[in-house]
Amino acid sequence: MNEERPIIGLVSATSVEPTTSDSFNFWLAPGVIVNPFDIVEAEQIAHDGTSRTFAL
Amino acid sequence: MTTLEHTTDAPTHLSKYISNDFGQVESEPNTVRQGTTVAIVAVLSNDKDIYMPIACDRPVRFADEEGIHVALGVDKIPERYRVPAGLIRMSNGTQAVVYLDLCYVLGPEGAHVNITGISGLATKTSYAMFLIQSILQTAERAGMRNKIGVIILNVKHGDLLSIDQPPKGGLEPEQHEMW
Repeated sequence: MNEERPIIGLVSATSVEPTTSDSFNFWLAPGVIVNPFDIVEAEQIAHDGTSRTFAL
Repeated sequence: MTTLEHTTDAPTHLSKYISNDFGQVESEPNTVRQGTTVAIVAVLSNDKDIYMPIACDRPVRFADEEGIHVALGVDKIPERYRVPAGLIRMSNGTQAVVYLDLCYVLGPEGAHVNITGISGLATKTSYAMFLIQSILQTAERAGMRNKIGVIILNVKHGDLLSIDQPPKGGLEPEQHEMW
C-alpha cells in the first residue's frame, strides 16, 4: 500500500532539534505542497517489521 | 503539520539584501541560494503503540483514508456507533470522513461536545444542527432512535424557531447546486 503513495520527505534529526516521542521534523522533497493540519505517516521501527507513526 | 519553515544558509536578512545587488528586486543572483522547507509535526499515534523517537531519514508520506482513521482512533469505534461528524480534506486530495463515538456523544461515556469558532458566521449553530441530524440518523441505525430526544435552548432570537421553514424568496442557484 505504501508503495502506491510517494515519499514526500525524510525525517530530519539534528543536534539542536532531535526527534522526540511527541514530535519530529522532516524536510520536504522539491515540489511537494503541504499545509498545516495535513496528517502524515512516518515509517517507524516495530518488534516485527515496521510500524506507522501518524502525525499532525 | 503544525508549522512549515523554509531555511537557507543565509546568515541574516541583511546578507540577502546585499546579495541582491543591494536591494535590487529585479536582479539575477550569481548563484541560486540553496534552501529547503522543513515541516514540524506533532505525533498523534502509532499503529503498534511504539513511541520511540523516529530515527533520522525515515520516509514520510501523506496518510491515506485508513491511516487517518487509525491516527484519530476511528478504527476503534464500533461501526454502528460511528456518528459522521465532518470531512478532512488534505493537500494531496485525500479525503476522510471523521466520526464521533455515539457512546461519548450521548453517553454513558461522556455525553458532551464542544463546538468553538468565530462569532457571527452562522457556522457553529449550523454545525450543531448538522450534528443533531447526524446523531439522529446514527441512533436509528443503532436501534436507539426511540431512546433519545432533542431539546434546544434557543439563544438566537426567532431564527431557530423557523429552521424547518424554507427561506423567504427561495435559495440562490449556487446554494441549490451546493446542496
